[in-house]
Amino acid sequence: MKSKIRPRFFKFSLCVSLIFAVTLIILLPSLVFAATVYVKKIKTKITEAPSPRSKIIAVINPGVPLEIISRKGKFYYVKLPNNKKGWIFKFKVKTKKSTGKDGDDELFALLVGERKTKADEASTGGSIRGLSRISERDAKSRGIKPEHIQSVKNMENLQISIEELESFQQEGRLGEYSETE
Amino acid sequence: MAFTFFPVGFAPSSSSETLEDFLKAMDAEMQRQLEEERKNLKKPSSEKQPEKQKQQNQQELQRQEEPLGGILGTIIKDKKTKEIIGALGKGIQSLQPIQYSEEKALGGAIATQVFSRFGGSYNNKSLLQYVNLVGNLVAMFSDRPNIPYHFAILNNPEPNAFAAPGGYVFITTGLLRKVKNEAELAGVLGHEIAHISQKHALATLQRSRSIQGISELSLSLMDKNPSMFRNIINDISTILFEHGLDQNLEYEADRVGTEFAYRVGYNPQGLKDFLKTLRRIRGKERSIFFKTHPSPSHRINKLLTEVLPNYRGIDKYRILTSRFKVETKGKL
Repeated sequence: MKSKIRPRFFKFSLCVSLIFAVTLIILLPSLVFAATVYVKKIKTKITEAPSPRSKIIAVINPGVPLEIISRKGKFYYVKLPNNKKGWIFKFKVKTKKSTGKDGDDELFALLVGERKTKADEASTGGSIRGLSRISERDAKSRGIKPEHIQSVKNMENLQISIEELESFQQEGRLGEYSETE
Repeated sequence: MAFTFFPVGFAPSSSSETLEDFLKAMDAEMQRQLEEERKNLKKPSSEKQPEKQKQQNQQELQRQEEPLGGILGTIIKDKKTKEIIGALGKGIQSLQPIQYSEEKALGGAIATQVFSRFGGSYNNKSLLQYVNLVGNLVAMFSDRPNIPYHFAILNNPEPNAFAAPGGYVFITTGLLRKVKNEAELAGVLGHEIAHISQKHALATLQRSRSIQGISELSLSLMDKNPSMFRNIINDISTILFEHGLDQNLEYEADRVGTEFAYRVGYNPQGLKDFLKTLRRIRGKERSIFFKTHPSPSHRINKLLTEVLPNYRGIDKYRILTSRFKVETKGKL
């Protein structure tokens, strides 16, 4: 009698344990990796595959929570709030959501088009782009030569496009194009 | 190379690798748990464990990104530096956080002084483009990538570099002549960008007399009080061009700048290697850099003992000597 029950019980236990183990193996990675991150930069691309050359499936701004599902090399596989899934370069994310109290919230709002230049800024000569009138007035009062004031303006006018940066990275095998893990 | 940087900022990840290290640890933890489950199938772990683990993971990720966490937390021991950096995190109790447009007004005024004091602009278009490409790439992977960064070359034979609030970075021709490769250039620019991303100069300024009694440094206040603005600029100039920032802020900029360059894929030894060049020329060449910064030897030692050991497999990272030579040849 004992010899019949024990094998049955053993088989049942083994079966339950196997089901549990398989379930654990399937679910554990997603549970363990489920950390929430946020992109650092505005207009960050999420791609279909872990490569910058892959198809773009979404473009997001800081503040959008991303759930890390898994990782491959320097890329994270993430889930967006709309349940879309894609890949992002790991150094483009951070764990803390911006608080809006770091002094950059005003600039951020301008960059993402949430507001236009504030009246105070326009009337006082402050500027997000270009040399501030306040800065220029101070420089003139110190007798700084016009050529040096112009040098600051020239410095600000030199713009590097996203395409130029992409190409520079690609040529140097840097950033998302690097071969390091 | 006077890294007279002007940083303004927030906290970078405290260690060389943030999420990657953490996830590797999670890999190991997951393997350990599975092994445990295999050995102990009759005693499966609690169902609450994954959720608990998830919370622990999130806490660990956040801990790694604390401004004074990790290496820096152990480096900064003196009270003065802790006060300066601590004030940043709290936004300074007496002064409201300075918005970007105000920061830029301060930095713009300082930038005109930099050109005026240090030889003016060096106008080689393609060299300027190259420095801006390397600089913007490092800035893109910094902890403050959303502000515009501007890079200029100063026509000055003394090796030096400066950073002004608002994203203005300067590098002298004298410094560029000493740089051997793109990884070194990225390390130097990373240091300057770190000063800006960490808002070091603004934090130091908030302790100065010119700012006492002011609760909000707004554009309208700056506009209505030119003398007050002038005094503030005088204080910043004194900090940058004469006294230098607190030494521990320089060490922090070394650590954070190295991290920024590494994120791009540059060999993180770039800054350390360039500091070795500076150590060799110290005493032979004049530069206010040597007055406003800790000695290159101390900085190298800090990098070697407290920063670089955190990076693994760095031989695979890019140095880009050939590209640097092609881009600078005949232009300096």
